[in-house]
Amino acid sequence: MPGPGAWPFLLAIAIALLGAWLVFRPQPTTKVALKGVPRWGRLAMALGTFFGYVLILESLGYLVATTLLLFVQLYWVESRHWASSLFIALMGAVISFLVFGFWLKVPLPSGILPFRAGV
Amino acid sequence: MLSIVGPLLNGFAIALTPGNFFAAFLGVLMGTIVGVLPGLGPTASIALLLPVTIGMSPLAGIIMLAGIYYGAMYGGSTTSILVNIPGEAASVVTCIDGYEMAKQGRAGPALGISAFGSFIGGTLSVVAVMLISPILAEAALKFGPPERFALFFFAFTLIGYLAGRSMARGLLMGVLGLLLGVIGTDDIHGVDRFTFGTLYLRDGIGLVPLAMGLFGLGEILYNIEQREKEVSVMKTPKNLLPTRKDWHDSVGPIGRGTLIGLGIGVLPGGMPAVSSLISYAVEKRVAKNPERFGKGAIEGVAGPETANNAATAGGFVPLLTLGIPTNSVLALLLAALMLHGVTPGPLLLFKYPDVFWGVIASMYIGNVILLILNLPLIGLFVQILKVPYGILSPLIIMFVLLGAYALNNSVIDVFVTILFGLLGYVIKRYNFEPAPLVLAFVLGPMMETSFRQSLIMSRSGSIGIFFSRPISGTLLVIAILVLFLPLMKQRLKRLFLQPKGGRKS
Repeated sequence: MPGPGAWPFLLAIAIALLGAWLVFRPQPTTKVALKGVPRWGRLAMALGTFFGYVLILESLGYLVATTLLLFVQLYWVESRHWASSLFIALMGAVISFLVFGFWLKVPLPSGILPFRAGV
Repeated sequence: MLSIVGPLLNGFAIALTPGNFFAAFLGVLMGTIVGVLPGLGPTASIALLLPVTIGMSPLAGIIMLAGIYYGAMYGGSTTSILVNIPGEAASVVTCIDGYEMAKQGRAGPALGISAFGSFIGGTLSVVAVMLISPILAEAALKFGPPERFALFFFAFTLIGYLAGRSMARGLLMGVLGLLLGVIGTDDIHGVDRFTFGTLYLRDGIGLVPLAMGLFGLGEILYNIEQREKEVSVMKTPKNLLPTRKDWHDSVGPIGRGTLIGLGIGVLPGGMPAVSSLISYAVEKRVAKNPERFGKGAIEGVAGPETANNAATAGGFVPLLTLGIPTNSVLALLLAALMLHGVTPGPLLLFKYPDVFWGVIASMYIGNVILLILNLPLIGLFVQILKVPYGILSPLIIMFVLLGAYALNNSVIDVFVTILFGLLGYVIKRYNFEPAPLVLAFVLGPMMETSFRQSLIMSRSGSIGIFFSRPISGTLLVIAILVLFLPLMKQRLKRLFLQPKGGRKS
């Protein structure tokens, strides 16, 4: 009788075989298509912001964290003007807070601000 | 024949209640917008709105999510034709001749014919869904665990085969999805697997964070790293009605597109994108003067745009009758149904006839709304494209992270979504396909359960049980043939084509 380990074991064999196949018999599409110069810096910054967002979401609250997330994305990653970045960031955070927090009643973390959503 | 008229009328009565009608309207409207926007596909948007439907009735929720799906197919063609950027994977081929037509000042007929073609393909397919589903459901009711396993395995191999150009790559993604599906408490023995002692992983990884990460954030990260070209929008044409000659040229492609779309749509792994590619290839082959293709042939717009809508509707057959999602959007619809306590499968039709017929009827209604919305309002939708990608992309990020949080009010879900976003980026960057992973992730637990149940049934634990039963045996043999198809193709080519000296692949 197969125990709980049988299925993952079979899958592990399958993935090992497929991996070996791809290593030794490269497929026609294996070549990585590079389009222009990769922008690793922006990628790292975007990812960093996402993880930072996870860290501050509950302590600082949805409004503050989301405004920061949007501002960093707009100003540094997408290199827009600081004023328009700030404006869009504030609008985006406030409108989504109203729609999701009050209309759809999602209990978004309020953090350091006194607004309570989801009620 | 008569037996479906009653339930269908009942379905219309249900779908036309104000709440459900509004759900269909909202769904197709959002679908069109999502379809127009490059970078936000139906998969990510449905994942995003899944939590929102919790407050709705199950039927209204499904109607809305389904509307997003087929609405996106309408919207996708608009971007392809006017901007030469496919709003949707299924509209990639529409760019070729659609954009050419737009450059020649014939954007109107191109948009018009894709809206009409989508409507015809979409509605005819719904008729077929309605006719096939009850028969299939009846047959599937007799399935035991070995048949179910064979069916899942067959679906899995097809997904790998149809997903991309390389089967090994498709299957690799599929097996990865199956492995991710193992995480959590095992259904039969109740043992925790790969949870590393964490409470979060005991319930398994959520489909929504997985799909939103892979399709939503993955796409965004890819575009951040690779410079997105600036969008220049063509002027919105005034006259959208195709001429008599256009119609004459398009009747054949629309008819063939419907059949191709339906045939591909019901196959697991048969994504709308696959059907539009095949339709384009077929039209080019049957055309009297194929050199017109790529230079603004209306057949190259009408066929694929019809096919992708027909495939969209066709996918509902295996979803509703067998519980098998054939693409990642339908996988999320499956999750949505389960969230509302409706288990898709052969019993759905008998246990929840209102859900089945209500959704079917809403699809007729939705297609009519789309036709009405799309013809006069195309100009309005195109305005959305004028929002620069640099503003759009941070807002999409915000919605994805917010949606991930809203699901269970958990920051861990947000974290998991980001991790899958990174995986999605890597997958796209190195030419793999995320779709087989998501599909296999959904199929995995069902596949394993039926596999183990079959072996328990066999008493001796031998795999002979799968081959000694006629239905499961046949399905498995076909599946194994599909697995070795690419290898055999090479062999056969070498055997027969060698004398000609043609080394194509």
